Amino acid sequence: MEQKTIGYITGGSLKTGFLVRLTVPADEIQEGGFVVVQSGNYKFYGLITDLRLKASDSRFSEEKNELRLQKDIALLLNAKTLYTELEILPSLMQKVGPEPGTEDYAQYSQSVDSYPIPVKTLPAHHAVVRIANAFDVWEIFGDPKAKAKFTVGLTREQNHPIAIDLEKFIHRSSGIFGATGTGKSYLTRLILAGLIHSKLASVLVFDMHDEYAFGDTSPDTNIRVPGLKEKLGSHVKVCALGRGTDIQRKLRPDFDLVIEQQDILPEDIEMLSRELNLRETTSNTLAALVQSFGEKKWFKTFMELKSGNGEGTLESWAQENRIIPQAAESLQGKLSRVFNKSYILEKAPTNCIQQIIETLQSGCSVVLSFGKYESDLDYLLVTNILTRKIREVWEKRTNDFHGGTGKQPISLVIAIEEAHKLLNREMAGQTSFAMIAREMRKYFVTLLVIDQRPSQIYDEVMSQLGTRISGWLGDDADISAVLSGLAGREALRGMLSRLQPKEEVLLLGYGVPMPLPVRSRRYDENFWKDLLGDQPIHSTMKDAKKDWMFPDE
Amino acid sequence: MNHSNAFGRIISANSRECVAGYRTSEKELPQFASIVRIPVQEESSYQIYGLVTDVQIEQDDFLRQIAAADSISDEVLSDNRVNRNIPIVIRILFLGFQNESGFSHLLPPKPPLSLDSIYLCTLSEIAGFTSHGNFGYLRHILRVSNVPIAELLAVHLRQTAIAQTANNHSAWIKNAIEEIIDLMRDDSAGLLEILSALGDADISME
Ligand SMILES: Nc1ncnc2c1ncn2[C@@H]1O[C@H](COP(=O)(O)OP(=O)(O)OP(=O)(O)O)[C@@H](O)[C@H]1O
Ligand SMILES: [Mg+2]
Repeated sequence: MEQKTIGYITGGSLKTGFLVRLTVPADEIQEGGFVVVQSGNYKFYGLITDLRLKASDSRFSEEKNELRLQKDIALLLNAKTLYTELEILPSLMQKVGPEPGTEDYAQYSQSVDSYPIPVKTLPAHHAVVRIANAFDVWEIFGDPKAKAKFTVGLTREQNHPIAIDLEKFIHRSSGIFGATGTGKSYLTRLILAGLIHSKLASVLVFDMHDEYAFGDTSPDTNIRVPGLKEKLGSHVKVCALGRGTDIQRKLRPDFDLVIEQQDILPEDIEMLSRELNLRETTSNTLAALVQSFGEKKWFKTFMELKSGNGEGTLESWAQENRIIPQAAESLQGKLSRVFNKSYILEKAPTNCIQQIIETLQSGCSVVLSFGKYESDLDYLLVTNILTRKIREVWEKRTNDFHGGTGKQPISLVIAIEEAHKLLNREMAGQTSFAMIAREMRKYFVTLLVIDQRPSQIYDEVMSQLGTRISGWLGDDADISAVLSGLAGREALRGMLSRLQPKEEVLLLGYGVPMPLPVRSRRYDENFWKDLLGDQPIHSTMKDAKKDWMFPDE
Repeated sequence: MNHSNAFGRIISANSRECVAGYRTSEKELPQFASIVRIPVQEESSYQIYGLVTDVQIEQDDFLRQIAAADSISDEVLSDNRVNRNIPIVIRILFLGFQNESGFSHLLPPKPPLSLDSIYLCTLSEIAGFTSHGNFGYLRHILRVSNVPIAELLAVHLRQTAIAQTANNHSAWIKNAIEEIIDLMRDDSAGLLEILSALGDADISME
């Protein structure tokens, strides 16, 4: 096993990290490198978080001694007195086991002793520091080929594959962050593909920009990449908002989503307060409406109440219910944006929401495409209604399961792009999402939050996120948000702001044994070949594929 | 071994250094920073290694008179330089010793006896002594007082590098400079002075 030694321990503490004197040229080492320190009975695993130029005396660094001394002598002097110091953020330590491959090792690797644990002590002075090799990566991040493991990237120095644990990934809500163009959507596609393929969970994707079902053409490279439906056809159903809506203008979805008027509750409207610029009087008016017409009828009836005066008008209803008529009129006016939505019908031809829920319960995933309904109003309203219904079902299913009257519900992951729209501080109290992030893991539902402005997401939700994957972030507040609640925040800050602008991410949190920056796995045909193998697409699937891809043929 | 002739005898000694007298009539001139050895008479295998740190011409009243004269005849000049008995005094810093178990860079356990003879070391003796151990003898040089250490080291290293190269050990000089840098790390001014003297001595590191 190759062992690239880079230096030795010169100091440090658990709080501030280990200090290392580098014995190789500084440019061979990069921030974020995964290193191993072996000392006594333990191996310590950590990340390079800082590099610093040092001199044993400032006179040696401040004066250009190569100008006044003979060249060879100056070189010797510089090599001896000028050096680079590394700072290492220690994460894990592990008892050193027997040689891999031996019988003793087999026994050891099964025992508790072999588990890496959080760092609790220090390596000795002068302990040798080296770059992690394939075996170290394997010990910490596990076998990327194992079940429930999914490779998300490669180490930056030596291209060792790094896998996340999908079971942990869905066990708590997770987040994918990064400034625009850092590769969030590409990475999400990768991970969702792995997740769907693993059959560990159903996934519901709120696909605001039509990127996930049928793929997408990169504006940067003009290369078209396939979507989840194209590659995982039988495990993914595509649903489009509105009746007869085509996706990307030519592709038919598996089914449509139409929302019935009776599904809309006052809280769905209140959640739109900012969007519709509603007043404080709104909740009073809504409560009165429900009281007068019932939870299922208020929306339709309110929509149809006429203006003017006399019986059956808005004004007379308002007066009867001690509502200021102007308030009622203003609300009705503002709600016209909702009344006019063509995906809201009095009666849907089929119970679409039920269909989505059943599909998800059967272990199949659903991509909900918003198509032309791109406004925040559509996104907020539809995701909230749908999620509320889903939450009710999963809660009931889980209670039945614990009561002994049902099966364990299948795990569900709800992926939301532009999550801050739904999970900002103002909204968090009102939508189902914050609640899911907080406690729905007990009910087998978690979120996959995708966002470029993590600081806009309510901190309470952020702190609940288990696995976090973040690309480059420039804004300090965003960086703080991503790192909130994690150990070693200070050391990791700089690393986030110095990631490559694209296709490099920092893995953090619960789903990974220790933080690590990686080069993102490429999302391309090779990825799909790796995931699916070279198996030919099943013939019936092929037909089905034709059907949805080219409806006119 | 190619033994050289003795060139002087011990006049006084302590545990760190000794002073020797030198007769001008002898052929081999002891130079500043030469490595010398002093076999101690009593014990056959015990000899002390040292470094010439100073060469001094003693004054006397007669010399003062001559020097003050308007002109000096050639006769008087050569009579003074060649025939005088002990006109030159050499200071020798001890670097270590050799006994039946080999070299040591510790100070000699016993100083030499008066009138012990002093020999210039041959190249292979120099190479043998200076490549023993890990440059321990350098600390004695770096500690010496009343001597321009930078000059002393520069000349010493240049001569020793020649001896080492002759004995197929050309990496010695690089290691020696590194050792000096290590030892002098905390005295940057002193170190830079030494290193620039090394530059003046034109030491080649090939
Ligand atoms: N894993 C990857 N494999 C291949 N190409 C990638 C990958 N990640 C990023 N890219 C390239 O980077 C571009 C931007 O990625 P992506 O669309 O995922 O960014 P984003 O973070 O979702 O941005 P936005 O916030 O604007 O939606 C892609 O068009 C693609 O060319
Ligand atoms: Mg995107």
